[in-house]
Amino acid sequence: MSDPVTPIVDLKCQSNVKAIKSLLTIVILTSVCILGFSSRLFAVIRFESIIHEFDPWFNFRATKRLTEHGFYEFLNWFDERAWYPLGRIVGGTVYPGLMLTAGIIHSISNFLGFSVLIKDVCVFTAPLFSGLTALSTYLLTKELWSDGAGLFAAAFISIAPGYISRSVAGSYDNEGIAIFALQFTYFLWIKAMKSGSIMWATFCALSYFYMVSAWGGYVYIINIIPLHVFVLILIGRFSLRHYTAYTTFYTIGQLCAMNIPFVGFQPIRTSEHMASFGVFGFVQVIAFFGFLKHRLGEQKMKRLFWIFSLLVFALGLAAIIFLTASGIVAPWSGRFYSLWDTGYARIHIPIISSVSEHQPTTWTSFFFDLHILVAVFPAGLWLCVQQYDDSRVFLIIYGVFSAYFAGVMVRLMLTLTPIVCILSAIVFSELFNRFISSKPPPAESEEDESAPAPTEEEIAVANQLRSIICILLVMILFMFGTHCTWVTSNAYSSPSVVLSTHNRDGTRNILDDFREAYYWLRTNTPDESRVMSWWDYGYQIAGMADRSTLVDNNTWNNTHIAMVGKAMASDEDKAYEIMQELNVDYVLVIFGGVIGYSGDDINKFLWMVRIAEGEHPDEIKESNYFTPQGEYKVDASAPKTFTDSVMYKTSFYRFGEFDHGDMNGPQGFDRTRNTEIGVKNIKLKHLEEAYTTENWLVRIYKVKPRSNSDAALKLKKSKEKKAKSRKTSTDSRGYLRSRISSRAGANTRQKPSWTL
Amino acid sequence: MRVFICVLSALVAVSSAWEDKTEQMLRWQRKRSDWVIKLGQKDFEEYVRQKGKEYSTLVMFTAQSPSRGCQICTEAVEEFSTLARSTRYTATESNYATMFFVLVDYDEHDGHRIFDTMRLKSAPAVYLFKKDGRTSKNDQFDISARGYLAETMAQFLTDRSGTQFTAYRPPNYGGWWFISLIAVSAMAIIYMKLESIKEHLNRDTIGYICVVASLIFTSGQMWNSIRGPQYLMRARGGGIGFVYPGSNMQLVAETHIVMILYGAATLGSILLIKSAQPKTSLTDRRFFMLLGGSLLFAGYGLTLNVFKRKYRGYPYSFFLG
Repeated sequence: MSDPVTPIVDLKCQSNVKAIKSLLTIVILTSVCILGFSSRLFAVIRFESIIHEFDPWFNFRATKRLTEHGFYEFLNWFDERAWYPLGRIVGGTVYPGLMLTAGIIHSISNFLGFSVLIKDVCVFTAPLFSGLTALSTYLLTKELWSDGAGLFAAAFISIAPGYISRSVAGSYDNEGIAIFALQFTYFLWIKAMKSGSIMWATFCALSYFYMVSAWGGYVYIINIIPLHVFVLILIGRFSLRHYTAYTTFYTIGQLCAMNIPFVGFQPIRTSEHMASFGVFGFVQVIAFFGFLKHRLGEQKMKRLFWIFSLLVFALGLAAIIFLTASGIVAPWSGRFYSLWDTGYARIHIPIISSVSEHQPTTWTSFFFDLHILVAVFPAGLWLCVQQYDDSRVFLIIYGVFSAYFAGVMVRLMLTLTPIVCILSAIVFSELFNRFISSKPPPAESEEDESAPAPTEEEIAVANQLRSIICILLVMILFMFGTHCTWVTSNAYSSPSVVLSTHNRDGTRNILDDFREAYYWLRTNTPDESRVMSWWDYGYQIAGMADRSTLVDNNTWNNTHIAMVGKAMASDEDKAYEIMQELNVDYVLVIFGGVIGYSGDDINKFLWMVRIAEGEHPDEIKESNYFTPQGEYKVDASAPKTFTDSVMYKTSFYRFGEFDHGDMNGPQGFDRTRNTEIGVKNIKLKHLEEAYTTENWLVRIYKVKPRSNSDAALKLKKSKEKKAKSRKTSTDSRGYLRSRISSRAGANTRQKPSWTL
Repeated sequence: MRVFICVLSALVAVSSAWEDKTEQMLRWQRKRSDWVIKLGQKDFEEYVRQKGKEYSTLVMFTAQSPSRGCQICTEAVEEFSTLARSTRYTATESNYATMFFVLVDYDEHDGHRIFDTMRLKSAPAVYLFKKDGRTSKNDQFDISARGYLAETMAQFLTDRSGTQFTAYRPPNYGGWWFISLIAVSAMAIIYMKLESIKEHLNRDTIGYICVVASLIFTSGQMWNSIRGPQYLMRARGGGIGFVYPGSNMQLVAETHIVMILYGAATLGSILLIKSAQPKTSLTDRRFFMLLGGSLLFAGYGLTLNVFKRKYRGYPYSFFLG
């Protein structure tokens, strides 16, 4: 595609060129797939074939369930080990596409006689799909621009860190396969809208169905495609082909989507899907009028059409607003709402803003994840606008909107990466097209009679300039390649279940504390024991230790999480009551003070307090955990509320005696926060240390049963009385009227009723 | 009996004095839509500091005059009036007219004297004055530690006074009206001048819009609008720092620099592509090539340079590094 083949070449040569071209394409694409696959294997080579991080552990556990018990058992699975005592209906609260994909790969390879562990299938699913993503990106770009750009795009997406971050071996998560589904759906959509064939549109809908089954980000598709159609209508390029494509896609796609239990009736009931529905109606009206016009052939039809369509649009909008306001259609869910009103989440939803993925994006992470691509992709947008047609409008919309969303939420960098790869591939392919070809582009100065004919020298200078620019461009791409490899190996290939440190002489230390602790739990505790930890570790405990957890990474129940947060933030007596209510047997905390691990519970503690405060504003107050200067410190200036809290005590228990050995620094020196801790002689009353791992990273405490000595009994009785009186007083409403209203007030603060 | 009447009349007098004060405060309050009362020195002494009244006051000391150059003051006052306004919607019988919100400005009505008597050295500051006109260390709302969001101030008031205060942020209909107004006028313009707009709304304009929008989004401006960082900082060796040395924070200045650099790279590649178009003459072509090439490579190299400053230990550089 780089050079239009001149007609002088004889037919044989032409077919030769064609054959060579397709051979080259196949070779390049194959090597791109291999490259993409192998650059995701850092973690496997350095550590071992292991599931990473948090969510993948749940996915893995669910997949195991699926392969062991079959599909229907999996759909009906009620997981009584999570969210104790509530449990979780897994089948109805999960996107099953990922598990099904891995399960099918597993059974196919077993059928073919390769006996593979389900764990290994799960580990390598994402790298496998990265190859498919590269292929579908190639197809999409080829469809929208040119063959050469397609190859560039495939190469870019296979190594772009923004995508690698979610698809290294072991990161067995929805996004790994969803990006493939996303790109493939877009490709099929472009195919469908270009050809106007029902077949392609049906394929598109089926691919959309796969996407819906795989990832909640499908909302992205169901808003971008209608937007594309809508813009086409606005610029007056809407045609019958688009009508066919969109109508087929919408009806089949949404019907299929509703078959996913987790999605259910959302496509017709939530605001996120209303845009697509509105466009669907709009398109019908337009088609109807087109039909009328065709039949009547009147000039007045046009006018009538505009008035009527505006009317319908306004009515539809009003209907949506009315339905949303009256509660028939659910308003935007919090996560989506925080995309539009960027300050909203910070104030109102701590559970959303506490997740680091939901933070806005700094320019560094754009550059880190996309490198040169982020600097030149606007030029691709420019080119698309300059040479626009019906399908390229899609690229423009996709590019601008994903850039906005990625700016608001780090997590959506993932949806930005493919389009940035495509757009900058267009730029690079155009650049190389023009600069690398051996013959200079035919200068038109002969036509321009006033201009003097270029001398030989001038042409030579221009040629030299061209080759210099070419070399520099290749160097930039080379830099991009090294950058991607460096980022992948340094930033995105850590399993986070296993940590590693470097000694001064360059040798590596493997810290396997997490698995040590989970293995201890698995082998040394009764099968039905309940482990309380912060929600980050819920999935890992369930997956590796196989014990019941109170809260986990599926953060569906804020109240329950706040309860755990409250237990962690209160003093031991209060926490003990909560633990007794929830039948907690073990408490697990992550403590990084010994090795300087920054992601530990003390650093996350403020979020626990905030979330607890959201639900129990009377008992937990964030300001009580700060020093008078408003700082968050663990040293001697830490306030008593903080040092009395279960979190502080369990983290720093016996740490006062800890000597770092050869490290200089006093006893009890916290290396994460670089301070000496304030309270060194911590005494535990209701908890006892059960296990602490080699590097103190995980500390497990056993909750003591109520002692039956007299003193304790008395204590218990008085406590019970207290609890009772509290209960009755709130029930009879005779107790501080303002307090009741305060609760109501707190609730409305959580969910502001005036919005929209 | 006489004594009793005396006492009674005294009581009535006292209580009527209380009533008068409350009445006066209410009168002032009614005048302002946000229920924030502005007081000068004299009235401050009488209505806030004096004993014998039935209400407490939350006072914000501020210096809003533009000559003071206190930007936080304006924002803090806004939050303060948000809080005051929300009491207007949440007032119940039990807490009606028991809490007033007072604003004291340094430059108005001898406000600086109040600052002197309060021994205040900086603004804004927020104090709670109880019924007896006293205030203590605990009654100070620590703005430097807790910020000045209306929600935190409401929390503080709830803690200190025992009655519930909640800050309600009114839904910003202003924005909606503004948007719909713009939308309607845009529609009207489009309808009226469809032809001339078609002329202007050509590929170049749309291209510019798309390019600028994506530059804004990818250079961290959204982060700035959410987090509101400072524009510049003091560098470690003195002097002005444009770049924050760390990747989890950014200054407004550096995002602007990066935006310009990205823009240069984009423009460079557009020029390069243009330079190879068959229609351009050879001299133009050379010029475009030179300019475009240098823009692209300089933009890229400098971005890498800035990135290296934020990401210590990043091993690669293009040039200048």
